[in-house]
Amino acid sequence: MKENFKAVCIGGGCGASQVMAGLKAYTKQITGIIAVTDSGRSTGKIRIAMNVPAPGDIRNALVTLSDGDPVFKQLFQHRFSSEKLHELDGMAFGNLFLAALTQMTGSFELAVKEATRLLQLTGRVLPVTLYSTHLCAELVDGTVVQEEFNVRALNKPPIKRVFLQHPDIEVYRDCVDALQEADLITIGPGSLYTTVIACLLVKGVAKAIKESRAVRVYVCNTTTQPGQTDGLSLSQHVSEVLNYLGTGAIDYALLNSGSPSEELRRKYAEDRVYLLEPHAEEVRRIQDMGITPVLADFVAATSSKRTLWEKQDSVRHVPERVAAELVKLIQI
Amino acid sequence: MIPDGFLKWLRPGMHVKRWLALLLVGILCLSLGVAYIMTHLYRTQPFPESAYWVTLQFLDRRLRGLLFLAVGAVFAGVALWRLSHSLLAPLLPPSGQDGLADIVYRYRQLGKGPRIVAIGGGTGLSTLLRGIKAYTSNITAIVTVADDGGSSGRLRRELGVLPPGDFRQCIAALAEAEPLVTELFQYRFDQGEGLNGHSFGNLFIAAMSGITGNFERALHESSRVLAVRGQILPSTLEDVVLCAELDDDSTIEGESQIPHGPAPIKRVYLRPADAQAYPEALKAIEEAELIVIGPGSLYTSIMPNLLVEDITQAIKAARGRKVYVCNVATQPGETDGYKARDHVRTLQEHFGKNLFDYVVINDRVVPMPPEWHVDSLGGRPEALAGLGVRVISADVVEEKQPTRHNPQKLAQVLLGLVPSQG
Repeated sequence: MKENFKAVCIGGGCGASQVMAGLKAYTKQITGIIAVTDSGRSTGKIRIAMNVPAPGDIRNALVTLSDGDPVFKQLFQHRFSSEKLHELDGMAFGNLFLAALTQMTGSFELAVKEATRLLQLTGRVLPVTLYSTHLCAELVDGTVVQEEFNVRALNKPPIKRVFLQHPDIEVYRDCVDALQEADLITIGPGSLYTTVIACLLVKGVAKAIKESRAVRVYVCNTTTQPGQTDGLSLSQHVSEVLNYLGTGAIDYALLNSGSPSEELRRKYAEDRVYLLEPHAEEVRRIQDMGITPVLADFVAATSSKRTLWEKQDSVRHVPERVAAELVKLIQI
Repeated sequence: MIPDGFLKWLRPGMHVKRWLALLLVGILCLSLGVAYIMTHLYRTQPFPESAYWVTLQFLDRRLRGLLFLAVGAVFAGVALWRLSHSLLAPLLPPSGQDGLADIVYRYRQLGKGPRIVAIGGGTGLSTLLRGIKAYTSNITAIVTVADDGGSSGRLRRELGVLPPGDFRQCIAALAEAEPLVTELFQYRFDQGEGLNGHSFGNLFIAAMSGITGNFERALHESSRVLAVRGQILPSTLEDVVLCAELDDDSTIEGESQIPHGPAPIKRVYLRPADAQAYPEALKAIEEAELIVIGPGSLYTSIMPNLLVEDITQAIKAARGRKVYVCNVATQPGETDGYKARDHVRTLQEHFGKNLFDYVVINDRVVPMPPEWHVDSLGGRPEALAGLGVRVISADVVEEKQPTRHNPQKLAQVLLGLVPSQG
């Protein structure tokens, strides 16, 4: 294995930072490229109030990679609760921190850097773009929905394609540098449209990934996600990513072959969350796309169901297992 | 040539020389021990031929001794130097204008500084703290929780925390953290419905209260993570309301309302009247060498602390020297028309004559623009004759902003009053 290799993880606050947390054991040179189009809950509130790029996913990634004082981690994730003050109710303190620093210094970039220093990160977290924009989707029936929160809303026709409200916004320069120098690039896991593809849509990202000499791996989700990937098969997930990235931009796909307990599967099924299983046919389709499938059991037997705010959770990857498989790939 | 940085380590009070000496004694004992064992072996065991060369026996014995001493000293020196760097590198501030020796020196010196308690609130107290933190880290700021205006008041009503505003100002004044973080702490949101007008530091303390479960631990943790020099304590943890009785016999409730009353203030009181003092604050008062009351709003910052009865009792019983720092200007709605004399008399009327022995007044009266609606306070010591207090008049005013004290000038005057420093 290459000593202290350079890894770049693309995605959102949950999926990508789990991969980063796993990779921490192997290298210190980790860069997270994180979506800034989230518009739910407190992130949405602060964006309406202050027009900053979405801090929520960045905040999660920062906290996951933090090696600093645990109090700062708790503080960043602390949510205010107040019945009397609607604007502050549910607001995560870390979002306020990033927003205040952005307002004070006039730069979201500097705000993220300062938070990185304060939380003593292993590696770094970069917003995919420094501009504030929103994710939009065209549905199969032709209607267009705006903002991430609506793109992932339940009970609407399937998504036909997604795009950014401001398609011309540029990728953050440091992200391109990181992608160019990387030895390993991971994409996902995470919400297919609202975090993974939301990152790939930013102008310059797909090109940098395609031109990179790194080993490029798509870490596929374990389940479908109601509101955005209902009915999509495993290979359809991969082909959607390739749609936005271009053929030849992914070398490997990590597919989960493990299965949570029967009881848990039933519980998930009640919420219309279905396991993405790597049947032979699916695996062959992925191979036909020019991608080498890597099958392993990535889910913990003890996985339990979490409740997220107006969002369905999927079965989580175990960071250590994902990292172990990734490290094998750069050894080849 | 010995580098300047090295000599700094040998300054008095660094707590370095004594440990260096012990280390030398240790090395000496180790060498002696090894020498004894070696001598014994040398006399009883046959040695291989190579021992002759390894121990340099072809050299004169005195030369050999000097050579080993020199090599030993260099190795030990380098080892110590590198060891301290390896251990301390992660702890040093990244910006690092000050060398490690300076940081250690400051830490040691300030740790030996006088024990000072400052009572008040708001801008006045933080001005004072900014000045005296250059002399001592044994500072205790005792702050009121009766504040109910502005961002603090909103958080108090809407999140149910004690008002953080005055504490925020003190934390910012005493924090040793990076300047950007301190600046952020004082930052006030200027857009965003619901956030507008809130200060970031207030939300920080409120969030800390949420994490730690209570205000007291929130203050403690906030102070810790922001590397506050000294401690900041509430005078009470009870949810007290400041009330005022006016000259027209009407009453007003709420700290923020008091300056807007229809008539001059006759007296102020707390509701509930029997609020328990914060025990740590009492302890700090008891142990202090100098207790400073003010500067700050007479009725709305200073008095809410003193109205907690145990605090006043503790001050009276304390052995330290007690000083009242009179404001340098009147305050609209609170002390219009007051002279320095009226400030002292008002405090004496509320709390008795034996609360403090010294008064610091400003002797450099700067004229104020009439549109500010404030008057300069101060003058000659004679102005306070007959009140039973010793008056120190000095130039303590901030020239650029003559309604405030100058932190450095004020700190110098106050340090002169500390018994052990005088």
